[in-house]
Amino acid sequence: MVALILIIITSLITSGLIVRMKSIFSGRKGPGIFQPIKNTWVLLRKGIVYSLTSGSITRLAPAVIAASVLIAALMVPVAGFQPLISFNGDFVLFAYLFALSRFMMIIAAFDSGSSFEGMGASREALYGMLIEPALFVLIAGLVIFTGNYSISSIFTLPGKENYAIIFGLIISYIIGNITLIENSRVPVDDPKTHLELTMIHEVMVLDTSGFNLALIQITAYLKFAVFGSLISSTLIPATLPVFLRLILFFAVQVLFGAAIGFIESFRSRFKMNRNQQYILTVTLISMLLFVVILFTKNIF
Amino acid sequence: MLILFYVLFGISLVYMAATEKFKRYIQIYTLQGILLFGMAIIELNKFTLLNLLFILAETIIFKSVIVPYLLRKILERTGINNVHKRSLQGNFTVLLMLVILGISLVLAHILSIPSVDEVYLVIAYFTLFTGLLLISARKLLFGHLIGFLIIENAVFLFSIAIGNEFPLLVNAGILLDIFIAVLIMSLFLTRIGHKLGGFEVDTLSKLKD
Repeated sequence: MVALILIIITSLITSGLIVRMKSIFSGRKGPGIFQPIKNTWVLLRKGIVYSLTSGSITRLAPAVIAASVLIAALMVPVAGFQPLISFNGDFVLFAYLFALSRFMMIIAAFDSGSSFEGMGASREALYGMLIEPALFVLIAGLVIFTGNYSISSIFTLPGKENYAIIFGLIISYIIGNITLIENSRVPVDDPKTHLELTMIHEVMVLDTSGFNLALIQITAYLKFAVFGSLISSTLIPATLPVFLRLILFFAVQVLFGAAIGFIESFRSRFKMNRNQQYILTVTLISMLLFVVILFTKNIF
Repeated sequence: MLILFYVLFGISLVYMAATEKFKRYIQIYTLQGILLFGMAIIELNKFTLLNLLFILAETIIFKSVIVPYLLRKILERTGINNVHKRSLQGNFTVLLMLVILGISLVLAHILSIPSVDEVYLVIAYFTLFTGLLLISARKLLFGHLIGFLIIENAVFLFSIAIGNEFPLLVNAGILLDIFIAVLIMSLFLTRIGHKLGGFEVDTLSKLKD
């Protein structure tokens, strides 16, 4: 239960932290850390407008998207605290819950009947397909390294083996990149862009409004929290005292948010045709780590 | 610690293959010099202090200072920034790197040496094939020069791997480094240097008496 509470707290602050960091780096005062949550709260109390061309999928999709990511969040260990759901092979369910969320987002975009949204859906499908091998290869490497089959065990690295801290750092780097791609952030996508032709995620939710849009935003906050928690699990030893783990957990989350804010402030987004290359590079680094793990465990 | 250097070196190769900016090539090559310095410190523990200092100075001075400085001067002189437009696209280069990683893995396993860590061999083969890939995928002569430097790093990695048993090989590797530095310097000082960076390799096929 503690893990879930920490994930919810993290999801409340990460997005605001990114916005705040971007404001600081661009020399503005900027909104408060809780401004994105306040905006979402306003949306939650608004009504929903559906386009005439949309069908039942548009009505169903936001709830399924939010629910699938929320269930995935229940499987994530947080700084040594065990998740609510944990069983052998749960990482497959975890990956496919994210895939289900993406699938519903894509078909909802198609359902709206807008060619712009179809274009965004096509891009989302391509990037989702390209990043999935990176996640699976990373998980396969961790399964071999730890000898366990559950997310709660495989992402709890420190103290288990030699090289754990080194691998933890590299895994954090890979998960950080996966977060940017999964959440459609710079350099893959720019959430602040106003030109539909260059959008990926934002263009898919152009016709989504009110409560449904709030659900989509909550999903994005949860995704940040899930990946941030995975990073903290790989870096923070589960053997430390509880209060120290909590302090380190929030320190990692703040650093994670600050790092994304830093990247978004000082890095421009890629041209659309460069995104595949970037995603494949992450997959290749994941594969490289997998090969090194094979050798360190004397399997090859 | 050594494992961190292996992985970082591998990641640097991945970015080397993916990038299309020559400045990035030089930055990554400089980083590789520092990583090789770290690897040499840890790996060559049976060397005499003088020999070790010579090797360490070579990795830092030649690989991380002199060669990058000369390469930067060539870029400034020729004014080129990116790889040729007709070069193999980054997507395909990264995909080929996946294949290369697989080949390196198999080769290191087949040609393993009992006293050498196999991860070392994988990274060395990976470096060698990355150099070859850069040479075959890039159109401009500058890209070929970088490819050659990467292959030279692979030779250095091989020599460190068995350096404790055959110190002479490490020295031979260093001689190759010095050769490269002299080669680049001579290109830089002569008239060829003005053309080097932007010179397309395809034009070599049109040479006449």
